[in-house]
Amino acid sequence: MAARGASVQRPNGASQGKICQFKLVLLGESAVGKSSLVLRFVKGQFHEYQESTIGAAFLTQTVCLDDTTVKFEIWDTAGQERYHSLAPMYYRGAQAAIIVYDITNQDTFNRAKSWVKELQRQANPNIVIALSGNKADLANKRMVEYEEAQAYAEENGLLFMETSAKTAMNVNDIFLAIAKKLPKTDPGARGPQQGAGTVQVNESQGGQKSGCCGGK
Amino acid sequence: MAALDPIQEKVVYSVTHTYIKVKNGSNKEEYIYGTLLMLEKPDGCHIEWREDPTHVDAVNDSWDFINADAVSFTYSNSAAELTDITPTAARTEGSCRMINQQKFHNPINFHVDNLRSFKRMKGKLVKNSCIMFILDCGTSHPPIYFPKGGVTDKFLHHLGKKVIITQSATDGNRFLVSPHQQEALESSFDALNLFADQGSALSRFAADPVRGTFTAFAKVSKLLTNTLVASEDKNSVPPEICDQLRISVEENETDFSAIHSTQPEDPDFLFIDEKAQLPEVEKKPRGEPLKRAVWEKFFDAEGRVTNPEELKQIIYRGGVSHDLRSEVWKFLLSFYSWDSTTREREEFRKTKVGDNNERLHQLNDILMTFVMYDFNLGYVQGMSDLLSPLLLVMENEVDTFWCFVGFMNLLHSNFEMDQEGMKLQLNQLNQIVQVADGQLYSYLDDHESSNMYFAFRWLLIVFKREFFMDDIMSLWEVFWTGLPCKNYQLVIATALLCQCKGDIIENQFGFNEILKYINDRSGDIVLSELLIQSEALAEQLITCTNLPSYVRKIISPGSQSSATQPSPDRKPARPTSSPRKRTAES
Repeated sequence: MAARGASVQRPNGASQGKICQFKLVLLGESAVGKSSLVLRFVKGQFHEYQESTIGAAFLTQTVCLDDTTVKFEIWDTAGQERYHSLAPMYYRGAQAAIIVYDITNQDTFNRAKSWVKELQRQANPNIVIALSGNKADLANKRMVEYEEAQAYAEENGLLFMETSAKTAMNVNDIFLAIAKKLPKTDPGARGPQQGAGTVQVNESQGGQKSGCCGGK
Repeated sequence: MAALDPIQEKVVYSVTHTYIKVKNGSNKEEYIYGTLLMLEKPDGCHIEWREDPTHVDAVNDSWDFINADAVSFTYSNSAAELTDITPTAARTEGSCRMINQQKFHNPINFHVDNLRSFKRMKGKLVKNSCIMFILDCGTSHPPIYFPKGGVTDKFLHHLGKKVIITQSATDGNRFLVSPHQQEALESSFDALNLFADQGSALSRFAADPVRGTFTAFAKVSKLLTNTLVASEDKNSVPPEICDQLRISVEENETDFSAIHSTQPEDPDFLFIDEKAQLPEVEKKPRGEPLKRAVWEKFFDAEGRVTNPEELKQIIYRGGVSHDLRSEVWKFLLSFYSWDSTTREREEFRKTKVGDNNERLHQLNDILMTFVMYDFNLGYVQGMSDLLSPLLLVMENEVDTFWCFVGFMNLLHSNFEMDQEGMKLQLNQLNQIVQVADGQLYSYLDDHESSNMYFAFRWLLIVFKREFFMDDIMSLWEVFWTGLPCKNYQLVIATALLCQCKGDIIENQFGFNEILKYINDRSGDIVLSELLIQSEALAEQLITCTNLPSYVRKIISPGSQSSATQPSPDRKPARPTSSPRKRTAES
């Protein structure tokens, strides 16, 4: 589990603070692991042969940050270039984006950079962008250097982590880092929606998370 | 599964020996037994379903299933590198590796405050009574079956103590859930000052939320809605109550006049006047699958199919017996032409095997060969979905390949770079839904969903991800006959959407939730029922006298079709094959 005070878990029923809801979109070349990152984050699962996303998938997950409950509405998109024209509909109004590349494939990093440019130009100007170098478990096949990606992220004001949906490395952390960076007073942050006691809850027990929202 | 933690949770109510259905290794149904629990936890009441590991046949891996579509595949322009191709076909001699994907059914565990509604299902479609929970985020959990029956009533009785349950006015098996916030509810009614002399109604409502109150509630909803619509200041009323009341009114068409007169210029309600009147038609039960005895009667002495149209009609009405599929599909997918003789087919097949065997052998993969074969299109996500059932049915890679080419000829425009084919189909779906169900269309339009993007997956791969393997084979056979009209996949999509209508509207789903709900339908759709409804809807559209011409065009043969016409300039050369007429397929 992640660091103290910031973990993916059900809020303790005693005291409830602010509830913020954010739209987050995952972008990146096909087969870099977008769906796997979401599946790891939302359900704590990993499938070696995750089927390709067609159209888009929508999932939610809630994280607790000190006294704030952050509910992510996650849009997982199809990565192939020909579906690019659908992307603006999904990143429209998004407060956060994770742009994913595969550390074993330089092309996917270039593609990630063009996503960054597109978001900087066309998305919500205050969007929090995180760059995820996924498949970090395949470091022996690395084609994109950590330092290179980190330098790029710094230049462009992006959060950056290398992640592994397979081993769960940095997966919760990258979502939590985004949650921390998101302005909790942003007008886009809606809530509380249903009043106290009706918080979106998720619990984590023994590594197996059971989310309210995860499809089937 | 973790054992109960007595400190953290207290069992309020439980039902053992319930089961859910999941896909097994062959993409077929399998039952997993478990216990439905209502638990009191520190943060409130939860509903959970836990697998019972001691229950029979469900060996260790009963939560897992192999995903028959798990074809993971990387193709880039620079280096055509195939990382993994994993069709789970039974016949994969050497050319394809078998890889099992483990997939888990989503745990059912939620706080009752996240429960938006649930459905009870009994009757002819469902052998055992079952319950399906739908959450406020759009998640719909798989139905939980109660083989012993009757338990649901007790469960609902307990649930009724935790949340307010109101029966849907339109569907007696649907129950809408709202949190038990008696004070909020009463104060909002007080603010409306509508119940001043109806205290008894409110107290009945509070005392007996489980049964029948929605009916009583609906009586005042018209009055309430008029007040709410008329009043600009809605702040005093919780929005969910406003919406709920509005929905209950919208469900009843006669009440539209009330809203109409309040806001006569509201364009959303104009559809009532413009609606094409679809005629009533009788729903026909599905036919028998095509059997060998019947199939063989269709051949003349030289092996020509004597009456392909009649044959297609049989397939359209009932599909094909599994043992015949590898033969029949070759005709349906234009690998063989209907008027070829047995001898011609043998010769033809030899040339195909000669032409392609080497390529197939070298490249070790059918999709890759297709990528080489149709370079313009390349590999597109979703193609592997189309391939996996063909692999299961065909004897060898060459037959599979040519049938795949035939299928891709039907769906070519879905996969083209500019996505114009998909955009056109979504647009046409929009037009058909408008005609088929104005109320549903209006709801979708009000909730940013009239673009029909939620149907993208349905249409791109012709419902492949929505059904178990047996069912998708049956559905595709029907689709390949080209009957009963052009673009039948859009009629099926409309019928399916109409099935989802009640859930979408009564749960007040927005754009996000609709997409999630539609994605979650996978595995829960009863194909025979859907095809019966689709057939009836197609007949309604075809025989409708005042059908708008643009809708007529979508379903009538002759004009350009979206999904079923290959674009001639992109179509790869097929020198020796003689595909049947396009119009017959579309």
